[in-house]
Amino acid sequence: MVKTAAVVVVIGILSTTATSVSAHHSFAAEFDSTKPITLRGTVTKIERTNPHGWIYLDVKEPNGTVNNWAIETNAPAALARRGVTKESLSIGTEVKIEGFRAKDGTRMVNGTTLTLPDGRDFPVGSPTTDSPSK
Amino acid sequence: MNRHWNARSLTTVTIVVLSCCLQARSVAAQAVDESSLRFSADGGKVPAPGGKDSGGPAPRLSDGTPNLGRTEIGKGVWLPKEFTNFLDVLVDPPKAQGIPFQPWAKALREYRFNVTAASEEPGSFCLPVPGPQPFMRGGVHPIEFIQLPEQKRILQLMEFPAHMWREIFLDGRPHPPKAVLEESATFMGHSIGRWEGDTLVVDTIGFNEGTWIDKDGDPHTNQLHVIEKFTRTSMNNLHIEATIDDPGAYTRPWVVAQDLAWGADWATKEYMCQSNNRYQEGYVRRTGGATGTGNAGAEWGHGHPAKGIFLGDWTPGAGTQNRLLIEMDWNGKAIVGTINPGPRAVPITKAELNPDTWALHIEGGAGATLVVLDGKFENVTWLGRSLVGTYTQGNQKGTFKITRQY
Repeated sequence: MVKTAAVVVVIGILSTTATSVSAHHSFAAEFDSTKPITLRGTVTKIERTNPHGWIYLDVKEPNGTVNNWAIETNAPAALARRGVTKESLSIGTEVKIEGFRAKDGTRMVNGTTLTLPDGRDFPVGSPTTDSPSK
Repeated sequence: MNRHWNARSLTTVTIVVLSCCLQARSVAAQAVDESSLRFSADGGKVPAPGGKDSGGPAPRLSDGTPNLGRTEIGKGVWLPKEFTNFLDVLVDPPKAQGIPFQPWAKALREYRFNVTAASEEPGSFCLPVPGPQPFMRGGVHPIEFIQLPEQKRILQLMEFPAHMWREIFLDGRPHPPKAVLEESATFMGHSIGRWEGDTLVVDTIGFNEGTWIDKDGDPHTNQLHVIEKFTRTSMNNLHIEATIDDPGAYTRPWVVAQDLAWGADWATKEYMCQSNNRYQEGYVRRTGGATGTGNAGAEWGHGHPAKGIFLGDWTPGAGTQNRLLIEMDWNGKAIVGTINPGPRAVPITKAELNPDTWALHIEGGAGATLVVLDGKFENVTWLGRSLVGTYTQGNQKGTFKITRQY
């Protein structure tokens, strides 16, 4: 069950310019640095895989529809080094994730920041994902 | 305006923004640099390269040579910074002069970066990156030297991008002969090393054309010769200087340099890039099918666009088909090759590429066999790129399309 979920498109300092540089793969090939997004939702799946991890969220759209979003993150080793562990992030956790939307309009996001229910937040993006916000 | 510097400015701004949200272990927003976003295994901050905390003089092995690795049982690796554009770390020629590209190489670099957003970059497909690139691009992925003085060789472990290792021979052996290297060219090339004072000098040739020099699209050919100089200037600092000498793509050798920080409580970890690389899946979806990039083809094609075997047809009109096979190579100064290799072979006498338009004019044979092709490359960054245009042989005229085989 989705308790609290929302899609918020953030317009602010992050959307001023931006192209991207990149490490594992080209950010600009897939993601749009002018489309920052904030997702609030329930974690449905976590892939601690290389070269990138993926976090899947059930997100309630403003019209009430629930959709599943895929968020690309840094490599799992890098996430663990930053404190995003199995203990701190598990299925069913309600989180906030900031990132950038896919250019093709699919529900795919290049994640930059993950915020846990207790307010702790972590950089989950670059250097390996190389979004504009390292 | 240079896109890259825009990105870097934004990056700085954004780091400041993000840093405000980090916990106490992160650094203060006003003192942020790239290294501040690295965290060691226990959450501690990694010293900046060349910083105040030198950790004392560079350690040595029992035979007196500098120790490029650990000094005690435990952890410790080198932490690369992240550069996607080697212009950022260029020291010779001066940055203002830029990287000394040949015209085709500059045009290809610009096309890769501006038109296709570096989407065909081989590392994105979990393929290796050559020369000094792992040192200058690895981001959070460490590098380690394993010195084996009794065997007169050094192993270099690189977590990024494909769980790579490289063997550097210090036993005085030369490189294999050129003909052997051409037949057995590899992603990482053949490396021999020597100590010059306290500097390890590594000389590498024998590269294939399956890679780019940097992430943003600087090309290279199989004439690439890389000379890397590694100097541990203190316990916590490794200085690397690399000369890129590729007469096939550049007008003169050029040098990049940077310092790496010692991550005392870091270690390499498994990084099997191939395990869930959804980038490749997305790339195929976005480009609509087989472009060749990322495939493990025998004929790598990230060098000069004209290099390769191109197969297709030319036709004077509907209903007729004439097979057309052209083999071309780039020797650093000219495109050479053969039209229809075999019993009907026509040697190419002239071939000129216009890098502004990717138009290629080819002439072959003489007299009655004179063939003239005027074509233009389609999808020039793809391994499976095509050449499309008009075909003229004597009084016969038609159109042609040939596609690079990979």
